Amino acid sequence: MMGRMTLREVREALAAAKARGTKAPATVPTVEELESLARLLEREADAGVPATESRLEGVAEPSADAIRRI
Amino acid sequence: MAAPTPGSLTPAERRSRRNRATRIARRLGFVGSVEYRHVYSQAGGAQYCRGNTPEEDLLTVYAEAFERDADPDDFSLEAMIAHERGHQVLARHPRLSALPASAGPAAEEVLASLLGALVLEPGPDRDTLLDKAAFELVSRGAAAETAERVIANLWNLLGRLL
Repeated sequence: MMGRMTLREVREALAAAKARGTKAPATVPTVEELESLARLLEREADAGVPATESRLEGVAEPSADAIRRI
Repeated sequence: MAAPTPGSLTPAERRSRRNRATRIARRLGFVGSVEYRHVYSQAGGAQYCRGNTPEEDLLTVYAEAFERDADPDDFSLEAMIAHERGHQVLARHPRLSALPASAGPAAEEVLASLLGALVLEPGPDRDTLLDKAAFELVSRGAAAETAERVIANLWNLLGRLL
């Protein structure tokens, strides 16, 4: 689900977080969970793509530009 | 956000909304049925429902999705549908389908936004989903720098996998 936060509210919250800098709890359960999932994904990515599995339709290559703007 | 019930639409206007949602969903690779419901969902505007097979999956788009799309300070219909397509990719892609069982709702929302961003072309709609993914983390107390690092890592990994 998209949730009910508007794009404006999302961007205001991100700007506020950037203004706060690193004054945040050392551990955030969702961050820890995603880091754990990332390790699983890394192992899967390192295992390589099976020859029979084609690239998912409609999925574009990620670009460095996209992530630099976050 | 909105009145309890959306204003009335003619049958032609409802068909037009359904057709537009369907065109976007298909362009983004959604498999399954797409329906338009002229009610407020209180869930953001669109919802993915997993079926027994991908062809039985259902994307429901609600009235507020079109109201949000008309607001320049809110998510576009394309971004909302891409996010739901992200849920479908997460549920259906053979290299990802094992993950949701171990992912909590917040983590799943982050992954769906990133996968939704991956099915969009580079541009403003993609950017909004990347922001939404980061927001899910900072709204739970993560520092912006931490959110950026986690999102960047996942973005690269998901791109490699898909």
